[in-house]
Amino acid sequence: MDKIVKIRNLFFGYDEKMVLEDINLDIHRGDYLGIVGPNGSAKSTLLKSILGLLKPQRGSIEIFGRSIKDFKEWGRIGYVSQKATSFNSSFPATVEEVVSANLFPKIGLFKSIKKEHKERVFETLKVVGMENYRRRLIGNLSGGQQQKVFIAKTLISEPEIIFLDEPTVGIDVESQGEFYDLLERFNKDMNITIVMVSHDIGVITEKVSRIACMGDKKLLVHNKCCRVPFSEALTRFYGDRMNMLVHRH
Amino acid sequence: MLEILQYGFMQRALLAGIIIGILCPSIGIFIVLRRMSLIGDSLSHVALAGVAAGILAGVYPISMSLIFSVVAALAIEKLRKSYEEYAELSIAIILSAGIGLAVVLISLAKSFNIDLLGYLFGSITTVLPRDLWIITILGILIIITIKFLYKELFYIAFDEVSAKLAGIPVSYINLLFIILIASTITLSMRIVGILLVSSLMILPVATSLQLAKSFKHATILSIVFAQVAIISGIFIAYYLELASGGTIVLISVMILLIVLGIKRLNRYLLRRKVLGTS
Ligand SMILES: Nc1ncnc2c1ncn2[C@@H]1O[C@H](COP(=O)(O)OP(=O)(O)OP(=O)(O)O)[C@@H](O)[C@H]1O
Ligand SMILES: [Mg+2]
Repeated sequence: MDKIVKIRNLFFGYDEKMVLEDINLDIHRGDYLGIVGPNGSAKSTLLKSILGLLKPQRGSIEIFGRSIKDFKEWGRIGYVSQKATSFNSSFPATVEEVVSANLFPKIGLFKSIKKEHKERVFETLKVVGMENYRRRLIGNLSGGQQQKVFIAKTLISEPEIIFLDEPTVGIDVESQGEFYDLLERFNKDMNITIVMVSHDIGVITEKVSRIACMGDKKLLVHNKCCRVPFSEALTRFYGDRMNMLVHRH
Repeated sequence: MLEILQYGFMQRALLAGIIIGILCPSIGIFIVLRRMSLIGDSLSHVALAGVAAGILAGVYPISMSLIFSVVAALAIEKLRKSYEEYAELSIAIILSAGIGLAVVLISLAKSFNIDLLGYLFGSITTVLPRDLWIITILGILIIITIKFLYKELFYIAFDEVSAKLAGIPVSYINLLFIILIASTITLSMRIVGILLVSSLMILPVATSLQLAKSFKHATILSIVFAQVAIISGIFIAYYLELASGGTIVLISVMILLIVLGIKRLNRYLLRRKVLGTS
């Protein structure tokens, strides 16, 4: 299978203390990888390292067959950060303006937005069901609506892989459901590879095709064959407390 | 009333004012939204040091000040990279260095204080033809640059990390942007004065943010507010013999207060309406 991301012997620490030690991970095209682990287990750190936002002390990260250090085709990657909705909420930008931002590299420097780009924005907003909000200020939307807008912004550059860091925090149950259905559609119908950090164990066990458990600086990957080993693996990481949570779903 | 337009200095002041009234808010909107407001103050103090150095050395003060503030701008960008977590620290370092240098140079240049006052507070009668030339040429160059990089500057202001990830050459654009700030400050000081340049970058933007329905709308509104303040400020300063910088900034403050007042009134009327119908 086509390996999109290849991580070998990755070590990372913000200071002398390492938070990631000897991480190895392959992500294949079409994967729906869930990353779970307790708070502070360096899930966000791992995503940021893969994206080249943090420089690892040791090890190699390849993405689309290129070292992240000299990777340039950013349009192929989408990223929705954990803090996507905590931007400056008084920023005077409309939904349309925010979503079109990810088209800018394609439009090119010194050129301005054309009608065809606006149509693209409209079509993409339609995918997440936010097209009627396109002239609203982003800061005036609810957290869940903002999250959908950020997903549209990520989608518009037609990425082959999307990284999402706890995308459903603060979103109501119904919208969460819609949101996960949307991701599933991207994954199944459009063959977009998805890597999602989440604390939502129920969804993780149900939706993803592979699961990576983080804890104690290490990472353990399981392929999904049936639900039981999944839950067992999770229990091993979270302890008995999580066991109850897993079985509740 | 319009006969004053026949005076050469008045024509120059107005023309320079109109250019500055486009420059300051179009740069200012990105400064405000990136929460870099201190940068304007910091670079303007360095520009002051440049003016003092120019007067002292007998060189054209505006070109000297342009060199000083661009060098300081480059230093801020360099420091900003070394203290990534404390971006405002680099600005504070340059601010202190700028004031220190300016004060030392001014004390050396004892006899030129009158000339310096004009640069400090802005003075319409002193816009020379050569000032107008440099303001026009550089000003149009800066406006064209902003126009061309408008969407990239917008993205960086909205979310610098995402912009980088989307493949926008963020560090080059940041470098260019800070040079644009430095040049804008230098060009504006003849009319608004060094001490008040950064207010003119910030106040019209603050007002426009109260009303903006989109980013484009905010940009246009802030230019409109700046133009109103500058043009009326120049006339009032002329008739009442006031310092133009102070007059312009006070009018900007007034516009902001009026807009805030109208918004408050609207909210009050809305509440009355809601209470009345329920
Ligand atoms: N900028 C930083 N500087 C220093 N240490 C950091 C920084 N960011 C995170 N850390 C530390 O690194 C560790 C991993 O943090 P990270 O944010 O990756 O955890 P996480 O798994 O995403 O947690 P959460 O579930 O709360 O989002 C934590 O111990 C955290 O304190
Ligand atoms: Mg995290």
